Amino acid sequence: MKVKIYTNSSCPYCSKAKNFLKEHGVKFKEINLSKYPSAAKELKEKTGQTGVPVILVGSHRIVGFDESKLRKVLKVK
Amino acid sequence: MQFTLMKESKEKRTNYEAAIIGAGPAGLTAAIYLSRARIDTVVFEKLIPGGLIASTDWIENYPGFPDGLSGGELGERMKRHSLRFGAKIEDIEVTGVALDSENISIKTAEGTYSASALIVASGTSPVRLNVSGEENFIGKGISFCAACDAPFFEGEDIVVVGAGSSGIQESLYLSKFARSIKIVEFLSHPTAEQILLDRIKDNDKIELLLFHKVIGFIGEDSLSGVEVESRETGEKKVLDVSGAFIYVGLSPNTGFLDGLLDVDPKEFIKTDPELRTSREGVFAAGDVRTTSLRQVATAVGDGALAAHKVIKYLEKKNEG
Repeated sequence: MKVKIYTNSSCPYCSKAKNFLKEHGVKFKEINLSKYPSAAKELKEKTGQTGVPVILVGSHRIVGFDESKLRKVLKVK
Repeated sequence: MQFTLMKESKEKRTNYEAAIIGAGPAGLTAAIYLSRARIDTVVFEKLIPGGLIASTDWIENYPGFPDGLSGGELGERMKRHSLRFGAKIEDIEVTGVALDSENISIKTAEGTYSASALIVASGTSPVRLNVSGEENFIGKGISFCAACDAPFFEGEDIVVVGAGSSGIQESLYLSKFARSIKIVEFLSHPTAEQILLDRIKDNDKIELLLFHKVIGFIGEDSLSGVEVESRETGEKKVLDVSGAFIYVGLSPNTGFLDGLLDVDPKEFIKTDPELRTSREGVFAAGDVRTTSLRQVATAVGDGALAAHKVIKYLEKKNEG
């Protein structure tokens, strides 16, 4: 499953989410809005979300750092 | 064999002389002082080091940084500083605290730790307005973190609720993105530092709407308006905006204590002037305790004092 995470450099929940993925050996593609501000518009249009992190795992979309949902979708303990 | 050795080396230590809950400025300062006194110290942090400052875009009233620096950078520097002297930082949320005659038990999702003394420095979280529509539009127009979510509002009209120092500071940051910002303030005057108020006078994107209260958030799939009411005339109107950032105060992160310590009516932890709480061996420092000013500078002072008191407490306990 492909994992993509939208983040912002100053967002503590984004750091937490990335740390979680790294700790569990999950490879992911990061789109940092500080570096690519235009991605904010794309994400807003696609998902209606105006906050990060947003984590896309295959067809699942996880808004915020929701650890239990992430564990379930990624099938990690 | 190799596997066994690796497994053993990964086993976590769970017994420390001192434990600190929260790696914000208070907790990390306490960790520096305790580690320098060679007190075996663990710090628990549920998010990332820095606490609430980690999501603050810019800090320019903390001495030693005349040009200012981002909250994330300051948090990271404080973390490095505490690690330098040997403190251990555990990236775990504390779920409960229990006391017996000898030790303090700190319950986490990854097991129970014990310590002889505890500093609660768990900080605060932004307060919600608790008005209609707020819950529905969090993450869909409503945010509590400008440094995180500002890019979503490039070229848009937005509202900031609260004209305290946080509300004004974050409005100045948001003005780099938004087309216009109305700051809605419940009181008849803003309460921010004068230097910040002087800056918004020079910013033609920002307008103050004083003596108004927010009564609801409106929209379908995402936020399209904020309904406000004049506290002078009772007149209601809707501000057509796609974003709202809320800075109306802070509430203490004390849920995990489950009534263990005496608190004030707003749930902040009561301490004496030496930062002792109502339970022996438990101290509180920083924004989580009852105090009249919540700043990085005051939290740092609290952290140093709490650590000093823990050192004295442990000396006495070990003598006795």
